[in-house]
Amino acid sequence: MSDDFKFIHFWNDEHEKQIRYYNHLKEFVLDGEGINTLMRAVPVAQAAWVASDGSPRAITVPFALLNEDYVYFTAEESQAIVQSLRKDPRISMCWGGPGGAATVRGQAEVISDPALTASVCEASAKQRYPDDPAKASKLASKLDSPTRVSIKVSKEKFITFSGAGLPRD
Amino acid sequence: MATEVKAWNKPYELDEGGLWRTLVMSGQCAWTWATADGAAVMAIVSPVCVNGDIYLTTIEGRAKTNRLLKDPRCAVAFHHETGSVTAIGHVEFDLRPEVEVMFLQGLQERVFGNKSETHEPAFIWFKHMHSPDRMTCKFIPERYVTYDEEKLLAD
Repeated sequence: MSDDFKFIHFWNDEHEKQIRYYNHLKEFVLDGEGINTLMRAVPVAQAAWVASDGSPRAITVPFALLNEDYVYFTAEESQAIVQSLRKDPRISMCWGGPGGAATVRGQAEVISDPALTASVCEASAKQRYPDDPAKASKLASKLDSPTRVSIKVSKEKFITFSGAGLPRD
Repeated sequence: MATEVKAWNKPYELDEGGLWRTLVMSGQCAWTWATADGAAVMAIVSPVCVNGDIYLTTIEGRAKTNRLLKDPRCAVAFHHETGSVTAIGHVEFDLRPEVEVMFLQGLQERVFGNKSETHEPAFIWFKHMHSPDRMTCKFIPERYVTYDEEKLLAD
């Protein structure tokens, strides 16, 4: 290894026990409560899908936790994410906070239901601006439109990371 | 700079300064790649944005790494109070030690700052990050999709 790492090796040599590298991810995971806490604490999520050429795409979205089983967000009917999810509903979403991160893999259902979309817009705006009701209300009214649809995402598999368990030695 | 946006959010793009502020200040991003069966998967990672380039790190042998070595197409989504940015492109792995050092030092500086009282935790952090199987790559953007929510709310 290059001399560039000499100072790190020197540091490591000063410690007798085996180094637990941060990439041993199985040691650093969130439990169910940790996942829920994280999802409720962050203002936005990211959602990923594949384009028609098979390349991955991602977008940041305000999201809503209307019930325990699904995650909801909204999009304009004309957006690429809606077109792609209608063809291939496989989706991934993730949440990142100071103490950890969570990715969920699931299936997306595009729903054209104005009442549901209004609920998702309102709940996701409150999640986006929890301490600013006026801003949340304004965002909800800006998002909610006749051309907007809801996207309901099932939570099939979680992949998580917890910073709380990182080695401190 | 090429920017792809859908008509609905065209008026709400970030300007170039806002784009770079978001990349540099967000501290984390969602790295998205495609699995062998064609599904998109994403993970939160800590990027380093320096000199107009985006660098990412991963671990040799991990599913994400194996897939990106076969199909380097990917996207990274950033969010900060300044706005949201998605960069669509691909990665090029660069295994030179100096690139890993540059990456780790950039990350260390952002996490711990450049203060004497944080030298020890910073070195401990370095020790745990610098594993023999760590790999660094440069993200090559082909286009950006940006969104400035403040413009939407002010509209």
